[in-house]
Amino acid sequence: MHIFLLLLVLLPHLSCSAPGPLAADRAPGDLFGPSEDNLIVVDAILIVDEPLPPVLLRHTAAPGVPYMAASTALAGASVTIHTDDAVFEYRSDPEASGRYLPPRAAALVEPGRTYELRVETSDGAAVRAMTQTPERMTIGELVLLDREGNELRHLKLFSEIGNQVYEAAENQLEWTKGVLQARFRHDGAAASYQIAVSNLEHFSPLLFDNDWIDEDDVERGETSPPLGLEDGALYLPWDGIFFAGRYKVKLYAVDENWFDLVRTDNVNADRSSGEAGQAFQRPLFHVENGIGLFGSAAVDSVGFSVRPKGTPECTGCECWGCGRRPTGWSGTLDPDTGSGSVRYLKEKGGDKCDLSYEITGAVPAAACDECSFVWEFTLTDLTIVSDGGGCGGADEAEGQTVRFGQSKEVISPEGGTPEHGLYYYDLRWTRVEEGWSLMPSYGDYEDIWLFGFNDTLWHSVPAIASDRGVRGREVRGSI
Amino acid sequence: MVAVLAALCDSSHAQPSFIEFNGLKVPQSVLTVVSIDLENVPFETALAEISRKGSFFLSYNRSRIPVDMKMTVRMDDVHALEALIFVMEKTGTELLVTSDGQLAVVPSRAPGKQQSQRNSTISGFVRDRSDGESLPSASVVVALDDQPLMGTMTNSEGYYAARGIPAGIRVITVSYIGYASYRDTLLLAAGQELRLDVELARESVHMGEVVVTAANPAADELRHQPSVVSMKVKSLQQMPAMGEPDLLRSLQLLPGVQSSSDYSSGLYVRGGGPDQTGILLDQIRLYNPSHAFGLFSTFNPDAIKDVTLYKGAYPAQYGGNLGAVLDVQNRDGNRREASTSGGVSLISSRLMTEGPLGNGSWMVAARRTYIDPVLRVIRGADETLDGLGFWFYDVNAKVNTQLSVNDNLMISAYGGNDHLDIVLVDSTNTFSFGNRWGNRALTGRWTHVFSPALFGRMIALYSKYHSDITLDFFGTTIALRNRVRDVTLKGDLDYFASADHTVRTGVDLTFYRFDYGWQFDQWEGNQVVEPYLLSTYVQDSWQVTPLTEARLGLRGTYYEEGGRLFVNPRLSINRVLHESWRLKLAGGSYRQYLQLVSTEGFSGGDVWVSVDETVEPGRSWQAVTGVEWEPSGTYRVSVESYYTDLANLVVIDQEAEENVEQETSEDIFKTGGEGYAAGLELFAEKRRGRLSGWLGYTLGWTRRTFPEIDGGGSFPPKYDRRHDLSLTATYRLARWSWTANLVYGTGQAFTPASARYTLRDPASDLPVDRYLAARRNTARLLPYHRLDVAMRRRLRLFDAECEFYLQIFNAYNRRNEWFIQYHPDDSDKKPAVAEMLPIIPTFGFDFRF
Repeated sequence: MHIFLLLLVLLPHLSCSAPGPLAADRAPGDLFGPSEDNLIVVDAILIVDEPLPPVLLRHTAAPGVPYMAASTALAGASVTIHTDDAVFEYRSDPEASGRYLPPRAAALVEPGRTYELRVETSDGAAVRAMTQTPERMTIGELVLLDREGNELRHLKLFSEIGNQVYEAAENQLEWTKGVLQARFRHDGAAASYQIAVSNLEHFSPLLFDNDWIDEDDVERGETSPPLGLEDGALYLPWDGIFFAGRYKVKLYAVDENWFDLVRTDNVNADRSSGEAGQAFQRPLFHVENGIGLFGSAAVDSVGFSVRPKGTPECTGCECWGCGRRPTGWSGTLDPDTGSGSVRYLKEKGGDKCDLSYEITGAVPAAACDECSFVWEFTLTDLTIVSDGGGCGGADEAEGQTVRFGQSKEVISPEGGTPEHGLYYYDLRWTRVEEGWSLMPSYGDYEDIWLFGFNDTLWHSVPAIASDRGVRGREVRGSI
Repeated sequence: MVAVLAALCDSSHAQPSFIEFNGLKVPQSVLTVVSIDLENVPFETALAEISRKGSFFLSYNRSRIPVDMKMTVRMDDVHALEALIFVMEKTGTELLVTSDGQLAVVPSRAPGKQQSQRNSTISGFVRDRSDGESLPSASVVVALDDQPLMGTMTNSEGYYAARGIPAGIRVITVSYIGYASYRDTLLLAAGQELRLDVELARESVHMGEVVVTAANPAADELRHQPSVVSMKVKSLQQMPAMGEPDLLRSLQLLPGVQSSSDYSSGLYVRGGGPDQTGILLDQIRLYNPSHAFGLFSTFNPDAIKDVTLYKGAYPAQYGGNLGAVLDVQNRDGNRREASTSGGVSLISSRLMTEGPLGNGSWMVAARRTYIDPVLRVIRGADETLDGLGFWFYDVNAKVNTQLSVNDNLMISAYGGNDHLDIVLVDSTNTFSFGNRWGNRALTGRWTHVFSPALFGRMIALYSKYHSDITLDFFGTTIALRNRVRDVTLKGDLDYFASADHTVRTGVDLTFYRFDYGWQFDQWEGNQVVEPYLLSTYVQDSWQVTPLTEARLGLRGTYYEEGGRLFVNPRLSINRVLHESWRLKLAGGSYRQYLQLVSTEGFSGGDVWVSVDETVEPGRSWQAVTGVEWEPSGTYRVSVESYYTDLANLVVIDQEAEENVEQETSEDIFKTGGEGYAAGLELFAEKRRGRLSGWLGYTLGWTRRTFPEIDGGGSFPPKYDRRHDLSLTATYRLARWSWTANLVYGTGQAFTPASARYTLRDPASDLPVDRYLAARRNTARLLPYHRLDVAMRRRLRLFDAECEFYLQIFNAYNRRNEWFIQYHPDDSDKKPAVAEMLPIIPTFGFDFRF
């Protein structure tokens, strides 16, 4: 019996020191197959009735080592696109390695036509790919149906009123109420269809309020898996619509190359059934002597605005609270007047807080190397709207002078306004993790600087102070 | 004609004493042991010599039998009656026993009836003496002294018929693994039809505290048929387990049978997936034999009587699966006395009670988990968790009644359900998830012995499987529903045609109803398919020579969906090479009409789909060869090789456009798959003694090819396993027993990443960092190995036999690998390895009274 018990104690240690095939640990490199580095990756998408696109060329990198996409650009290649009656010689983009630009006088991409991409690298490797562009596709009607499938109303299209679709009364939707149906006018069948949904706001709240999902768990831009047409129409599910505000939905009629890539890749495909771990597979590439996508699509878009469920009819950001970001810090600054506000909101969990500071006398400051512009301002006039135990030290920043700048780098080009990163100055310039900065060129916030960062970040920053040293590091966990 | 009766006797035997022998009154002296040495003498002289030495009267009519026929007789130490029958053998005469015990030699009757007149039949049921349970697949051998004359086997109801037995004194031996053999000497008159119901006593004989004959070995091949394994319930209950004794997990320890992971009790037999193995409970097909998302199987070990796994080349009486068949029979119930048994483990409790009912018996067994209170505590600790519940139960019930000596009626029912509910609420929202699945089954079976040689059964079966998944997410309802219902009418006949042929034939007619429903918000759909399947089969078990048995079969099926008509041959040959050596060959072709759409590790959402006219049903050819060496009843070694050729395979197509109604099989599946599985299995077993157990090893290869997968190249499926080793040992000492299982297997196949690259997602136009997958399943996880141990002690408590146990699953806490996850969005993050179960100790006790 004692031996039995002794064995029980010792046995768990055996697998750690077991030799050879019984070993418990493995080198991480063993989880990779033979390296296929230096394969040529083609990345070019032709959109019908748009100019020939730039062609991106990269090469693959070995797995198992830190990966930097920027280091995989493939420069020095000869790139041409051929059609029946023309050859388009591409040239290297002097500002972006691995990017090749079409001739300035290149024609628009034509529907129903075959395009062939030929690449020859500096070391003589030749890559070819072909695409047959889909026929033109336009959305003839966008209809809101009720749950029984009856038409409630027709929404306005871009072809009718342009960007006014977001404000049109017909296009104001209450979340999950009814179903949108896009009816196509299509000259020919495409291999498949795909939807890309973009929320054009940058700090609109979630359309639902709950304790389980917060805005970090979902994206403002989503794409669908490949979809099929049903009686010449596509239903636009509420999947992917998580935030209030304006939505632009692109509907693509795609070629075989695009369809095959998207249905077989490991990004879009939903392969939830089957054996564990078996969903990872090599996508279908239609690139000779390389991988990637040389595909084409015809595209049309619709636009509308979504407000939270149960809210009265409204238009624009008034429906959901302009400038309101549910959790974290957000600021607005009018460059013309040097005034604005910074607001701290916390609504997650049991601890809540809603407070704001006024900004007056903001002045431009010398930009950092990575910034496109910098503002220095002082926080004044603290207003605590509510303190449910979640304000922490956020209410101790009155009088503090801080300096923030917008990064040159775009971190999210989706939607109408590019979103940049945010820098702050604390004796040296530091990138704010998960910080954001943007300056819309339309709407209620046209030419207003909007910026923000999350709650967690703020409380981890030791202090933010200008080089004028006002209060410096004295205040922890607040501006 | 004047009849002259000659009486050959000694006057001193004028008043012979008689004995009752198998219902016949015969002179006791026929059993006198004699020696005869006569050369070239008339038949009459031989008769006189035998009757003289045997000291019995013998009458005959000299004008009707060939008294002058010359013959030579040399026999030592045989019963006088044996000698008499021997000399009569070629004279066209037969022995007549009169009602008063007189023996007469008379001419054989009509020539056409001569054979049947001369040969006798023994038939009857073989049952367990302690509870009256019938014993299927028991061996029945009729011998002259030690020379076997013929052998047969009990059928699934424990019935046998040994025909074509020459009259005379015969020794019948009935044996069944784990039971003391029954041996009896019978005097069979010519043409006699003897009903002999045999009861066998269980073999565990205790001398003091030492078990001289160990409990049953875990596995025993069914009458040496190729690729057949029969598992005893006692062994099943003694295996170390993860909380609950589990039939399917125990079967996974046999060579050629694998699991996909610690989380799954699914059977992967000889390179086939779980749906390629048909699972039958009292002949009813179970569509989802698992509880707790595959962690446990639905079989309550207390209720099981007999388990037979056909790993391949299964006989014509079964159909519908490309690979294997698991046939589980529940207990009929104790015909002798009421008894109760059960067990309490950390996960569930189970109870089985049974007893006599008139001429028959009844049995009820139930099992239920009690994880609910734990979940209630969890629920109470989280204010947003409004509901959290999981439980499963299963109930088996059976009523068995003997309508007459030749008629039996059995009604059996099974019900099992799994139930999971999660409800999250906050001030304004509700999120709920529910998953329920289960099987219901009802069987009615009437068996009738039409004649000693003809046994029939009529069966009506009803089976229903349901699977419901509901998700309510911010007011949007998503639901998936699958119902499979089948109603089957079957008729089977076992015809024991002669000593050399036993024919089994039958017809099945199954009416299916597949019901798929789905709901997404306001959209919902429903599809119902109601095909029927007509099957018929005939199978002849043929004793080709005294050393060679063959089983020839044909199974024909007509499936309404697509109008498919197929005839599939089956063959099995079993030849004794030299005393303890046997050679086995088997093969056949198989078809499969139903396909499982499943998720490993989440079998609660199993969906069964019938293939329609757009897709050819799956087809396999199987061939098995094997050699078996059984030098004694203690040791046995067998080696089997197998090859399975597969065609028309399908896998669920997860790359189809999402919102398109998938109405045909072609829409649902990737089709045109081919493949093979080949391997070599070694099984070495020690059945008796304090130390018993087995060693199983499989060397296997499995490949699949689908035009739409991996560029149409051949690839190993995940469960392709080059080496698979299992060692099971039980040591018994007094009231203690220790059992250990050690398993080792080649790591599962996975698809490795071979490069990093960046490519835009075309619809969002955003660059996405990705891993490039290498060829499918070209790498291997670390080898799988695990040790389970169990310690049990028997004792008596309040007149009950109890057994306490401690068992440890994965005793040395090997973190076996399940699958790999790459993180393309993080340039520095290493691939993650999902692991299987850690060490899990459990304890509990079983009881019986």
